[in-house]
Amino acid sequence: MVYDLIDRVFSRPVSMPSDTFLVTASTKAGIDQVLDSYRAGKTCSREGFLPHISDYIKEKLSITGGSYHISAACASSTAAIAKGASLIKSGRCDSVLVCCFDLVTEFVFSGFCSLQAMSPLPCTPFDKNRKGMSIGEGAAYLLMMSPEKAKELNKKSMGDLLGWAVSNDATHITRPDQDGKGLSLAIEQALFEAGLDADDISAVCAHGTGTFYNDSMELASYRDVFNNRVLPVFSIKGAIGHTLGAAGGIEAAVSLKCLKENSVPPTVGFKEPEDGAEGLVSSKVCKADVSYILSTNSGFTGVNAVIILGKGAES
Amino acid sequence: MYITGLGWVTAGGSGKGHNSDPFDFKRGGISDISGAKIPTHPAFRKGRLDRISLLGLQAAANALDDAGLYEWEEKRGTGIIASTVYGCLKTDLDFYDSVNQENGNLPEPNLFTHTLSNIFLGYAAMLFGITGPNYVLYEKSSSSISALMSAMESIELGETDTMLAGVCDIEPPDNFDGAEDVIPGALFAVIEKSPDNGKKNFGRLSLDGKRNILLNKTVINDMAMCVRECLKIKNY
Repeated sequence: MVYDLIDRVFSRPVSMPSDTFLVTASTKAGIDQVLDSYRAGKTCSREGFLPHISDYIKEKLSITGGSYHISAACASSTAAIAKGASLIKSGRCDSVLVCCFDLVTEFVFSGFCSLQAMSPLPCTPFDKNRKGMSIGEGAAYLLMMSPEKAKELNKKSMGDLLGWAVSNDATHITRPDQDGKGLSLAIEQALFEAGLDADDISAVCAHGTGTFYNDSMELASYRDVFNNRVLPVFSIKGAIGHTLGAAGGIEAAVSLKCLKENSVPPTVGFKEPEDGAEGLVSSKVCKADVSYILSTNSGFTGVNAVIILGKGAES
Repeated sequence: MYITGLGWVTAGGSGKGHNSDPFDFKRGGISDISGAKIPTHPAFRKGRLDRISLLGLQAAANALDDAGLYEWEEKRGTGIIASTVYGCLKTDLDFYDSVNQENGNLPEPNLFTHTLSNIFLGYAAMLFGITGPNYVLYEKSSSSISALMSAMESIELGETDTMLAGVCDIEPPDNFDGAEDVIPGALFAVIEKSPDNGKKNFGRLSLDGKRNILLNKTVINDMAMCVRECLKIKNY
């Protein structure tokens, strides 16, 4: 159940200002809970819907600020991080908690099977012989603060959120624009927001689902934006699967670790590069000076969301 | 920033702001929307769209038409944000029923692709060439102002110059807790940062020091109120 997942992600105490604004993100939230009551013929509960889960989080953490509950397919959590950054930049609030989560449910698993999008074996992002995606489940939270608030509370930054953007391909509902133009648009907007050039980006935490269309779209976009420059590109979905609406939040956390450790993780399952992935993707840990990292997600409906992270005081 | 277009489909009918169509955001069933007047697109058939997609698209199309932004040749950076209570729950249930079949058939893939509450935003992006910020905000009750607020924040920060913002819910399924909080219907406003001189608008949108939304000097509490106020104060 989704509430168990929330309890696990907040199993360790976390302190934040009581007026922290909460942004939750998910694709199907507690759909299993809603459908269980439906199947049992009972009055169906709304407890599985995002606003109610958000109430639970707020109560659990004793925070009373406002909240947004975002759903943007597999880009949900990156869109939520972008929204959190906008809230802070606009001065509406100085502390935002982004919490994202999604479960492997019969509903979701059956759906992706019906689309024949699932790999029979664990997924192999950016591999020439990739056969589709693997579903994963998970949750993450990221606490974001204005520099002033972080200083006031003596919080050390794990990384700076420098740029963000959300775009749409506007070409197809389930198949990404094969030129990667929608993703490129979001990356260029995020670079502009960050005041960086494409050459400044050290590594890319890619969406990398292991599906034919997604991975080739991403490679096309990276070739375009980075002008064929070779830089580390990785996907963690070969290791943990595609956690759907939680993917961007978990990947942002991994990206922060990359900045701290000056290394990028392997793309698990990757063996033979897809055309265009040569030299970019590796099955091994890559040590590199990671100053700025780009993290991207794309999803059904043509949505793309990206963030750019830089080193914080802790890294 | 200014509201330059309004479109809606409610139990009281379908309408556009500049037409001075009657607006009534009332409880009740929405009449058949299978004949929604939306553009065609080679990548999908209108007949395969679910009810919430048709509803949201019709209201968004009305709003864009009302703002003079229906026709397009090149993609544009316009964004779209919608608030919803139940999202695509009806489609979820239809899909779930297909999962539970005991005849060994795979569930219906077309239904599954429509089990994302933001699906109609993707259709709107395709049909109207809009590539800006796009997501759904879940809310506890109808007519939320949150999408309008979020859209204004995007424009305020320069993320885009034009946004569609509104609400969209179909009739809640039977036996659902809280169904009384939902008034079915879709209402959309087009917000432009700097509309061309002389373009008809419904007034200036701003945020006060307490982050209240103001339409001219009136505090706007919900989306239906926003539409009503716009219809009162057309600035021609």
